[in-house]
Amino acid sequence: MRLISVVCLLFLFSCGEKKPSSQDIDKVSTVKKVKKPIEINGLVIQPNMVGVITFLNGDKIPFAKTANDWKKAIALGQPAWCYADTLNNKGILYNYYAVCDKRGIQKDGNKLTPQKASKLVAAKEIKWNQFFEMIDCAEKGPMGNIYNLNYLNLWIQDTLIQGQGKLSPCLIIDNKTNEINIKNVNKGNGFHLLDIN
Amino acid sequence: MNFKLLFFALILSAKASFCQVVHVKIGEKSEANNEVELVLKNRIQSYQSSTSNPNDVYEPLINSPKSVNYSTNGKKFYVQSLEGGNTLVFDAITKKKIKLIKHEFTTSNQNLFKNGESSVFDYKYNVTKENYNIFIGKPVESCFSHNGKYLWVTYYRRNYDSNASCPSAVAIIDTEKDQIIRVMPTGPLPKMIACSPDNKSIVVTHWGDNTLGIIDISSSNPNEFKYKKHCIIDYQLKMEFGSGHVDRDANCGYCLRGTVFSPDGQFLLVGKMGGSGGIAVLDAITFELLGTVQGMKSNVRHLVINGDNLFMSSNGPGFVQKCNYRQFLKTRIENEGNEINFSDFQSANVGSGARTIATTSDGKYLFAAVNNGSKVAVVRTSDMVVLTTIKADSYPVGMDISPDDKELIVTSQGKTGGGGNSVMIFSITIK
Repeated sequence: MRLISVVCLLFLFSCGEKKPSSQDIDKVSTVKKVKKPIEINGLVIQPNMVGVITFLNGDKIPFAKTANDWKKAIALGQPAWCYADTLNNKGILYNYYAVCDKRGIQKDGNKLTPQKASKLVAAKEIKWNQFFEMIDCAEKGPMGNIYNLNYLNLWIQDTLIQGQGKLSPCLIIDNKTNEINIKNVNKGNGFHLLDIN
Repeated sequence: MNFKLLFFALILSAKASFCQVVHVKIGEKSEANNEVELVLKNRIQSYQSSTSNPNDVYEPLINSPKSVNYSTNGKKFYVQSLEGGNTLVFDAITKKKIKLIKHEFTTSNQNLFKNGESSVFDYKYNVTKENYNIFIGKPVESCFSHNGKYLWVTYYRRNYDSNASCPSAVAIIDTEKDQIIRVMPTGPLPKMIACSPDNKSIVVTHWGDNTLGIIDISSSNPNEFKYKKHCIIDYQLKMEFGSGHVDRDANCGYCLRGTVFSPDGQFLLVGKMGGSGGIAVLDAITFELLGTVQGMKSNVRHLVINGDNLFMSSNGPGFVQKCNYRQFLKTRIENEGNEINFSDFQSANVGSGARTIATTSDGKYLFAAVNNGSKVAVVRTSDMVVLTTIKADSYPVGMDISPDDKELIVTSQGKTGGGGNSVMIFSITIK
């Protein structure tokens, strides 16, 4: 049993977070220069949004090309991702069912938990807009359209309320004023992911 | 018997005082405060032919002026004289009339109607005429496109369409020559009109039937401007009013009015003065209706976005309100349902009849035409406090601020039995 577990773990780590390079996608994510990690209240934040299109086990996350694809995936409770910048095929937004999928997109230690989110909210002095760009603020609503109002929408993994009701907690950073809040938003929204440990 | 006479006299006196038309003296100043002062410097009016003040000018063509717009360079201003069927152009420095643009179409100027077009989106006329394009248009609101080159003027109705239930029209004025170069049909009773920030689209808001007409103006040639979409806000009001007179100011469905694009051009916001109220939000690329946001005061009339703030006037309740337009729109797009609620507003009570509003270019001060109170209110937007008010000729309704923030022009409309019938120019001093 222990051997099987070790083999599984090795398999998982060997897959890693596969960067998108599959034939069906030309360009994905990596929209900006690599930046230094940000340290806030004991947390280390990788300032580049997660941009993978596979789960940790290598399974592909389905691509929602159109607004209808997005709405359909939400209605069926299926994982999906889409481009944040549909003109240039850059940046990635995930739907609720992708970020909550048991196969995982991030390693557990990198996920934004409610505790980590509270620490970030407490750090009032942080000038978030020195780290993030407009494309990081693209957002997709339940109707499947993409807009950009200069807010970062980061998914919070809250295992206590996950799967219940229509709402999901989200860390929202106003990239213009640097205000930061935790808000429950409709599960049909698109979410960005940041690696925070 | 004496008691009855006394009661009757009291009623008459109250009615007289309610209907009393106010005309303010040149030199009138706003109530003292430490921040903003308004002074009535000039007036162009049609109610008194002989005046003792040279800055009080009689102009008989001023006939229920509904709105006013400074040209984008601030050198001229355009007054829409609704009942006169004219646009009057004034020099912004001298305040002299420099042009009269008549919205009268006869057999001699039918070339203004491309291919004789008299309707759009399959709108039907409920009157029979040999030529629907022979009419006098009643100019109501206007906006500029192409960096001020064209002024678009909507007609409340064609003069023969007494119930404003037939297709109306919009005139395109070349502001270099100040003459109409084209007239396009619209739906019934268009009022507000707005140009997208990228100068690619004009939105004609039909007060008359809950719809918007979207015109593609991406060409630099006005003859190539063409309709590209008809947007219905929830439902289209049917023009089934019978043969009698109908008050279309009240029978208008949602009575769509305030129309503004978000500065980034992603969204279009349209105020619903009637029905269940609220502000309709549309995707400004596809012009798809995203739904309505509720939560502000009822009877929302005029919308302005300055900086991050969305300002709105609520006519009946007499309030102006502000909110962060990005938060307002974010709430709309991240929620499902046709109607959603937003509550983060700051309000100022300016008095019943809050009509057009305008802000200084830095957004620090807001001015509101208060129709019922015959006054203009000045609001400090940081905390939404009414700083001061100034008396105005009766029924102030439209306004605009000069690009240098030095002058505020207010129009006072006419009413049965009188009315303001004037265009007042106030100096603005920010201390």
